[in-house]
Amino acid sequence: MDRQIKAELTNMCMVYEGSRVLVQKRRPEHGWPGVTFPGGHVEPGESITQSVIREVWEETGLTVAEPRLCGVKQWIEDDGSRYIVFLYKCNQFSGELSASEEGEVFWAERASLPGMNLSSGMEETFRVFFEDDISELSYYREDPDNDWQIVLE
Amino acid sequence: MTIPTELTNMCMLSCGGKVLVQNRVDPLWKGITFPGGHVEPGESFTDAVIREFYEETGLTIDKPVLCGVKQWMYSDGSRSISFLYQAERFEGELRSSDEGNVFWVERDELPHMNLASGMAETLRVFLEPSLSELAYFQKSGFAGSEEWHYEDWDFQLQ
Repeated sequence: MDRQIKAELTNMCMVYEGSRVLVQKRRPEHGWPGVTFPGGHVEPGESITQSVIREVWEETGLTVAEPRLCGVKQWIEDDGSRYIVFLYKCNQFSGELSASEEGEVFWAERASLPGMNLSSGMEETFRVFFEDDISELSYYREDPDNDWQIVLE
Repeated sequence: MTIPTELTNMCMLSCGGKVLVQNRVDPLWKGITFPGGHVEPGESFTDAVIREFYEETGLTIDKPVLCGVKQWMYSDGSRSISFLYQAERFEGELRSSDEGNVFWVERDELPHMNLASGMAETLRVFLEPSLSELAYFQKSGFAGSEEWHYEDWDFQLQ
């Protein structure tokens, strides 16, 4: 195993029904404030699919079925480590909508998203969710003094 | 929380009803598979799969699309994650590498070929739209071994 790097594994899921999508408005005290999709960390021993089903349930009260991987988002850090977000879509769900302490959750028209107070980076993240020929958003920088560069592929 | 992770990729290139396969010669993982390899430091996953595919086939794929992920979850918490891509557009001249011969086969023939270990279930992630993950867990009672054996693992398709 000489090819290992350090990685932080997370997920995010767009639950949708027709033209509406389920969004979470994150409270500032939990960091990364603004409107985003539900998601969180992959826990030890979990498959990535299991982790996204658990996180959506914890943050929205809904149980999703057959979430599908639609892309990946990552920060490639200067030390070679990576922060990876597995992006899922899902239109099968059951249960009653209920918010968590991370923030309120509600249905929004997809077309209204750009006018919302989005969490940072969500504008480019939406492109991976909405454009079929884009499946990766990566952030990198030449050195810590430079800004992050955005690549959509 | 960061965990030690090995990052790789694999890509199924389709053209009509045919797909491009590689017949790997490495005794540790021998048989029919799709081209792919390791993500190098600083590379995006997309750049990595385009580079690996070129190195092993001579073909430059255009706009590979992520269709799933395959992972090995080790009992020490580390993971080996492979990003699975599909592509339909390419250019260049086909040539093999020393990892194995590459050639086109009818997609329907694949299940009957001498597949590398794990490829039977990996194919399902490529071919069934409702599946996007293949996760391997070490079998309960697994005592640990210096050598990697496919037989020590159970898998789950989701």
